[in-house]
Amino acid sequence: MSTLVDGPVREPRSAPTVGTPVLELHDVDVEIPLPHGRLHAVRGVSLTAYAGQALGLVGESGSGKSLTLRAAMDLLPSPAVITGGSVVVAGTDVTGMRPAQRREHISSTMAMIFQDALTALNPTMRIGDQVAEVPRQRLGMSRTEARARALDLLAQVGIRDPEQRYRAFPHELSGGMRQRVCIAIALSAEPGLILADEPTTALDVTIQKQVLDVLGRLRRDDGVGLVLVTHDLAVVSSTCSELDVMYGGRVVEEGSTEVLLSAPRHPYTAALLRSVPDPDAPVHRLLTIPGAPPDLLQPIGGCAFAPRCPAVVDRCRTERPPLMPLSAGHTSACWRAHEPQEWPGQVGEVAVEGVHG
Amino acid sequence: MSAVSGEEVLAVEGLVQHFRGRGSAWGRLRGRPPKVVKAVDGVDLVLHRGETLGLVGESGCGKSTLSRCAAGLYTPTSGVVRYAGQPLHGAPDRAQRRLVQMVFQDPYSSLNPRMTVGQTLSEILTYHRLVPRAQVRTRVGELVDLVGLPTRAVDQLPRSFSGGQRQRIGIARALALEPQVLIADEPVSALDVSVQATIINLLLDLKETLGLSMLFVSHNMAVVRQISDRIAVMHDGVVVEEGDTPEVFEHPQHDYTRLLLASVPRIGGTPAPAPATAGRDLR
Repeated sequence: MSTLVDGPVREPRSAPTVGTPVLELHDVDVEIPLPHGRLHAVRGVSLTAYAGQALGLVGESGSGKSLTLRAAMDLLPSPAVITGGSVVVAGTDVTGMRPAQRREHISSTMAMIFQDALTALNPTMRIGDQVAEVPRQRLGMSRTEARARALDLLAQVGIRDPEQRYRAFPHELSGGMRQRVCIAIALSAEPGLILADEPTTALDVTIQKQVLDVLGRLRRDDGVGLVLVTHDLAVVSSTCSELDVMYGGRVVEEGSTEVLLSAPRHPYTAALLRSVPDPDAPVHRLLTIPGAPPDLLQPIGGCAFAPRCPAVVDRCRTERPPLMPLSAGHTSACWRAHEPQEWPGQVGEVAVEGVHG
Repeated sequence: MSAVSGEEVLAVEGLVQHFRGRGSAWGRLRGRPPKVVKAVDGVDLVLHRGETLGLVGESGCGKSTLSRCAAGLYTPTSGVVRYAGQPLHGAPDRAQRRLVQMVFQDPYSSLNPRMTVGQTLSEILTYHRLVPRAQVRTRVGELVDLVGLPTRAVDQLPRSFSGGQRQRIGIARALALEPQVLIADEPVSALDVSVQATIINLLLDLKETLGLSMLFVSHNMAVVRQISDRIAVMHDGVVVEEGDTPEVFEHPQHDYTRLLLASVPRIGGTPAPAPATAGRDLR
């Protein structure tokens, strides 16, 4: 974000109305050509992020969650490419646009923050100047206006004494402060949606809470939407109202966070939940998921989770379950999602399983 | 609660570890004293036989430095680390020092990428003359099996393993020396949750079967609660609270412990209303 070239000057926009879709992905495929084959990392992902809403995207390493986010932002690391589907940003399909036009359109609507704030910032530039860069270069503000805007943004993300911190270099700040600066930069283009890729994974819990609070406040007060990619279900639970669970490059369950985390209807979501230790209720042994994630270089015949699934039936191995609606806003890609059974090892059972020895 | 026989295995007494910075070139010319970082500033801790002591705190609180001192990797500025009553530092023979072993956070960088698992493990066994040469191969097989890796893993390089499997290799390497005390510095924080669960279970099993005592360093309160009998909370180089795990979690005494516990995100915990964070930073 800090290496923007001069773009067309535009007026600052007001944040879009809460509830309008800002980002829509339709059947997006991402592939990575490798010497020994094509790694099909994202396999037909569809999701919608609305203004003023916090959407969580969870999954484990290799589930395709980060690449999905980067595909939306047109920031796929080379040689990964989008090979199918469409990305619709603020109502406009950007897939067919020329690259320069596409970036301009995307960056005026959405902004991204990354896990490692230190490498995301320019180490040779004062943080204030980095925040002022977009207002100055893209929004056409004068030097003084841009500076005032930067100070405003720094205060908005909870940086105390912004006048003084304006002149600091990234290495002079703590991890939490650096991430706040990144959020300030993300906000400087007045986006309707912030895409955050594991923004607090590198931070301590107390600092993590502060950063999540900043993002939560922006959403409530200014209607800035959030797509939060994380592997931490507890972070999602306290931040996002909607949740997409990814496995093997696909969304396997989708719905409100509350429902998904209390009554998951996909065995993978259930399994993931029970492997998370609860700080308030230790158990004798954590339940685990046997086996390993699928090899994404190969085509997957049936359900990608079938080899590790406790509820597997023959059909799962041959026929891939599509996302099927269960109730309003809740879908699950499991052939057995409709069956009124408790998934083995659902959260409620684990909590009472044993008392700490 | 804590299945403690009362016998001390590892004791840290008045431990201080300061690091002297180099200061700037200009500062040195002007004769300014270099800055001293007081990573650990007077810590007393006792680890009993068969016990797991969780050491928690945030980055920079000194928990890793303390664990490295306790493992004998750093020579402390002052204070003593005793293993079964004998000072660990300056111990004349390897036999003493090998009884305290360490598992590191990053399973990617803590293994030699050019050595197979078998080579890594047999090097240790040979160097410490733990088994006769003829039996090294067998012992390597046993170790690999102990940590739940397939036998063919012996001839493979670290790069062909996933994060969780590499951490198993790291644990096998520590166990090769038949230690009494295992010091694990954030052993699961680089792993996915489901993999994290398997490693925690493995450590719990090993502790049981081998009768290990463990110092478990982590910033993850949920993981620490799962694995520890007792907990010590570190902040700014000192231990601010220490006690049995359920006691510390349910009745935290120190303000810092309370803050730490309140900050832990919880599944099902309603999204907390944002406190006025503007203009407030703890650091």
